[in-house]
Amino acid sequence: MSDYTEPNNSEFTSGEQVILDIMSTVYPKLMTTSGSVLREVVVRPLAYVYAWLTANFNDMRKRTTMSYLRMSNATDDPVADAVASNYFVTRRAGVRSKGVVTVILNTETTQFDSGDTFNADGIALATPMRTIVMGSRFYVDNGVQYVPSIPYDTANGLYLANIPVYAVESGNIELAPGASVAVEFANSSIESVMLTSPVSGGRDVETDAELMARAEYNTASAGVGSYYGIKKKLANSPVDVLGLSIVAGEDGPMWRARYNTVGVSPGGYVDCYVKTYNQYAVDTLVQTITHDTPQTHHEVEIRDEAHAGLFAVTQLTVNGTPVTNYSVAFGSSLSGVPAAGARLSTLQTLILTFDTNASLQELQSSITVMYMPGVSAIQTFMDSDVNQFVGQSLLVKGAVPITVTLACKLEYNGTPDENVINGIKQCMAARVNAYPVGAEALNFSDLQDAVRTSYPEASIRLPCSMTGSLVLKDGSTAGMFSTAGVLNAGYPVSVTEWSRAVCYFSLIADNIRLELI
Amino acid sequence: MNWLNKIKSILGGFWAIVFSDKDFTLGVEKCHALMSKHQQTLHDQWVASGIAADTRAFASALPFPIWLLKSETRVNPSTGNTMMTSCVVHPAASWDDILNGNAGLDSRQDGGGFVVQSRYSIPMPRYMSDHVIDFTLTLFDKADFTWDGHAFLFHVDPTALNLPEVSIMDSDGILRVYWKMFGWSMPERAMNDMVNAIYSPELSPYSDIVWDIHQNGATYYNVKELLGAVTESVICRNSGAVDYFWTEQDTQCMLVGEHVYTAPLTAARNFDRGSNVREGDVLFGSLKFMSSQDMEQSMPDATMAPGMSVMTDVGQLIAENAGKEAVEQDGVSVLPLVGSYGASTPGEYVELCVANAHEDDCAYIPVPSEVNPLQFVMCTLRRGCGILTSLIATGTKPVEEALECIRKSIMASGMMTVYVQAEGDNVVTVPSAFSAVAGNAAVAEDITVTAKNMFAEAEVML
Repeated sequence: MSDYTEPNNSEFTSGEQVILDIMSTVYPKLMTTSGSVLREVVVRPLAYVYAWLTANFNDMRKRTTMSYLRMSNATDDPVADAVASNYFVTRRAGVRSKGVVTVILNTETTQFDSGDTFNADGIALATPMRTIVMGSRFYVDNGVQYVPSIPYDTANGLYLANIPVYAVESGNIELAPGASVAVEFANSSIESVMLTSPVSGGRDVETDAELMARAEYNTASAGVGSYYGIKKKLANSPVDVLGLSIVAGEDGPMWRARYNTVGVSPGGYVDCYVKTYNQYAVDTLVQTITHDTPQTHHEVEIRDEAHAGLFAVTQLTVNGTPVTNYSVAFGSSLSGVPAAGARLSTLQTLILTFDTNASLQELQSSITVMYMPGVSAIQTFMDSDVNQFVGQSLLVKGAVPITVTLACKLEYNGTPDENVINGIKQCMAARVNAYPVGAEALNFSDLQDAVRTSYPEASIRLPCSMTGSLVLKDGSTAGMFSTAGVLNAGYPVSVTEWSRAVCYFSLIADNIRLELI
Repeated sequence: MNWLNKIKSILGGFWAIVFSDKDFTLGVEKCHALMSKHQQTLHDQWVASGIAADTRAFASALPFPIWLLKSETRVNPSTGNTMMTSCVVHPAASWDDILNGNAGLDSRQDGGGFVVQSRYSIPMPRYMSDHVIDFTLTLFDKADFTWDGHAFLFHVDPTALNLPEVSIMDSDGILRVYWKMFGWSMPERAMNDMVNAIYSPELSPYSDIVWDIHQNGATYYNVKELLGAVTESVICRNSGAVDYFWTEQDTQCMLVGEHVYTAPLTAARNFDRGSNVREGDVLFGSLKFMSSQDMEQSMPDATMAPGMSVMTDVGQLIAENAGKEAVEQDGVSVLPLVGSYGASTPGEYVELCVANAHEDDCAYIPVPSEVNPLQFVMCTLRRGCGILTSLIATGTKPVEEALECIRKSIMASGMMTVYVQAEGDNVVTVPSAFSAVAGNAAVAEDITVTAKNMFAEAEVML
């Protein structure tokens, strides 16, 4: 606040005119010409004070305008905090990333202490509380989390457990599945460790621009179920919502609204696509399948609250044996809502079809799924009496990530070390992950701006090859490619497939390749 | 900040020589320094108090001088004669012509304005006075003058105002006489900053309405008011009879009860003398606002709302504003929608409706054999959810920004269909402009131009 600016000459002249006018109006006979005592002793010092005030007021006006602050990436500007307080928002601290570490155990039961640490590519990941691996159900009781013990290699007595972990450091930490993991505590039950799910969902300290964005919707009405109203409600959601898109009315992806005999939306339906993680989360769903009689053909409909709105199945294991030939379909658990309308929501059901060599009546299946965490919790939150909007049928769905890989050239004034290169990659990834849900295209110029701002001595150059992959409605994967510097999210454009309105771009530093020139 | 040192440096050695009394000198310096420190504290408190985002306190506290060029006197170097030229231009020409130098003094005409140039670049004054304190004359923006950033257009003759004058011999050898006034730049609206930042500078002239929509949500009334404002339509704020109607220069006026409503002469007048009007009626302008209840009584003219774009699972179709027979297939009555280019009901759509009608879960909506598809969608299917709006805009930019503002604040389950007839714009560019900027949900991505009547049709959905 004590950062003052000096007035310029025109501000001083203007101040002098104002002071002269006051003096000559009140005391018309006073001599105030240049060189007179009054001019030199009274007018000029006062003019300076006036000019100083004008300059500092103007400077402060500029620095306290929303337009200015919305462009600022500073995180420690007290003026921005003061302005934000006008709109009843305070700067958020950083949030830790979360993920799941998969451990292979040589016993069915084991336990970890709170804070037991794994090291994944140099990032410390810790268990959030005392964790006991046992049984077939995940639950938390009295400060202890119970994680299911899944048969993995029954012949060798191996079991698998997915241990929830969080990054010890807060901030925007992103790790892709497959990163090497080391165990940094003693536990003889552990045979091996893998990172099967991304570590994501963390956030740095809020910038001025992000703070102003929250001020924007915090001043908006929450009583009306508008875009702002819903966004404002979700700011208090039990799960951190990083981005959202509202689909309603005549919008293309509003499939459930048109399920009537005229095929036209009657209004009243709202789908809210949320992004709670920057990447797909991966988890294993343990399911016991039971038939009336033993059979080799198995078709089972699964509804799982914890993984509501899952995108796709990536792996199926039955009784500890991987099944390679299986098919997946998606249905609806609610009459009046078609499968297309229930997709990615808590109403979605998973229909899994596969064959086994032997006739089986009861099967232990473990289904590895990609999903958006928190959909179910957010739906419950929005369904509560205090949060529901009158006259609105609101369904929470998982927004669809477009996983991007990128390669371009880097020009650097000097020789960048590995830390600088990694920093540039992080900066590019952060820019892409800051795109809103529903962004039309990923533009290379945005990445250039981000790098230029954070690393003035660096510049990324075309050509840039960008690829994107996303899971389609049927659970299959589609890809897109561009060398033009713009990756368009509008693929595939079809009334029956995703619209860009429900997709978002996801990029992690590991998926960026920079060629130094 | 060490104000004592600062004051010493400003005063310099001049007056220390004049007054050799060091104690007196120090006393005066301390007076100035103390006052400066006080001002600095006020400044800091002002920032800390959090009113910094509101420009009102600043602008009303600090006036600024305005120097208006009254005349120039040149000396003819060969003869030594002087020639004085008045710099007040009193033309009948348009504002643009005056500023572009296309209007000369010979085009003077009673009723025109008086153009005066400013010596300095200044912020826009909300009002001007002849002195900072004890002023005897006050001129107000819009009422007495207009400021375009470079010159003033006075609606009163400044030569008759007896303004304070100052003469300056400039370095080019021309003696210039200026009227010296003071400007007060009070902000037009307190929330301008937020409206500029969140929405668009295009909407800052309407920041009161925009802020109301932002803070209280979009309602039937404030949406009407905003769309009215951006299209120069005038909304009635009281009920009563139209008592008088008259014109003043380029403005038409209407007296309703005790309220006078004004609009440009070019705006359409929607009520005659003696008509009864209600709050919310559009007195002047092209804006038409209809709820489904209104449309049950009378359908809008087809030139105003030629049809509505509806999205189906087989793509986008048009519900025309015309009497039609329903399509019958397999005992199912199907709404007669047409394709974007006026084709008859697409076969795929009929098949979808028939298939849906045979599903148990699917909601059944009976379609009458004779039907106006637009009315059916608005009044039967979307009863209570929809509003239909038609407007004519001379420029689409503010309309586009207004729709974006409405989109973010309208209830997401409601629907609003806006027909924009653009005047002066290339109509073909309108849809792309809408879809590109609005995106997301409210102004739907599916926008068609009905070529028959050159209406750009935008669906506002949220």
